Amino acid sequence: MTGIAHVADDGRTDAGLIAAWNEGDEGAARDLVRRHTPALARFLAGAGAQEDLDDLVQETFLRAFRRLASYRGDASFRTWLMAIGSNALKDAHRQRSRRVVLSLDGREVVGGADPQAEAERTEAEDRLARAVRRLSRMQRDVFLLRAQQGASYEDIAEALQTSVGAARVHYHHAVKRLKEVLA
Amino acid sequence: MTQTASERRLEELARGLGQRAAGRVDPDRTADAVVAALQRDGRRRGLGRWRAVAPLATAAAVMVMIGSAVVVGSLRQVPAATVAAAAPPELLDLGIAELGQVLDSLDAEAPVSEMTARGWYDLSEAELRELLTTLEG
Repeated sequence: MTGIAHVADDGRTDAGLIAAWNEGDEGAARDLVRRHTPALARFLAGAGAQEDLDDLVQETFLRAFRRLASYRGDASFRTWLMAIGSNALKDAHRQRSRRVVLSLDGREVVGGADPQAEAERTEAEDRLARAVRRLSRMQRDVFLLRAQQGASYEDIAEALQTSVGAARVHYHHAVKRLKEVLA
Repeated sequence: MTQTASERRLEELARGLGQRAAGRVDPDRTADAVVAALQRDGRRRGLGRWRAVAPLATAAAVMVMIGSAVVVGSLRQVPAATVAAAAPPELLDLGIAELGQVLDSLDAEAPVSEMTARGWYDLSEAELRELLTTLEG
């Protein structure tokens, strides 16, 4: 797994879109949002966002654009965006009154060749989702960025402001705990 | 580091995590909402910047007006101001030679009078003191 450089159909990189947005090109902002919304939404949903997912995705992008001047490009834009999303999610949870976070991301069974296998997979994903939400925030973010998003440890370390070694350790501990849950 | 089967299974499941929920988030609608909010931000920032700058601009304009008035006023009073600055406070203590030096140092257009028209060296000590006192304002 390596750092991910995202390039649009028109060949524009994230860095190019950011530069264009800084020049006042609203279309560039629109392209950045469109490009990263699905991955960000998956990350946030995996990290525990539920009915507030739409709002959290928007809030994350707004925070990112407002602090774009501080983005140095050390981490990929997507990984940096997810680190911001993790903060937004933490703030949202803090603001919200405590409640049981167990209803998972939709129960509809996706149509497939083998309904029973699909149901088992859904059940396993649900268990994993619950277990991921019980990890420490750092373990959860590292696990999702690595396993779900395919980010490199270097990229993760930059985005989460930790070392590569620490990111590896967090991932190792996360995997160990999750395997126990899924065993 | 080799991955065990359970780790591979874990990563496979992790890749699907949040997929269904994320599928309900429309990227186009999100882009519209984010850009609209950024536009509102920009308008607010523009207004905020003007609000922050307006008092400074007003203060600067007032300072320029006051400064201009002072400069114009001082230009009109150059002789008196220069004399006042140059003339010693106690002219009575000075001898005629010192009074002459003071007068020489006043590179200013003194009010034309019968006395100055003659040249200071023609004046008596009393007349010199009177002249300098006049220049002092």
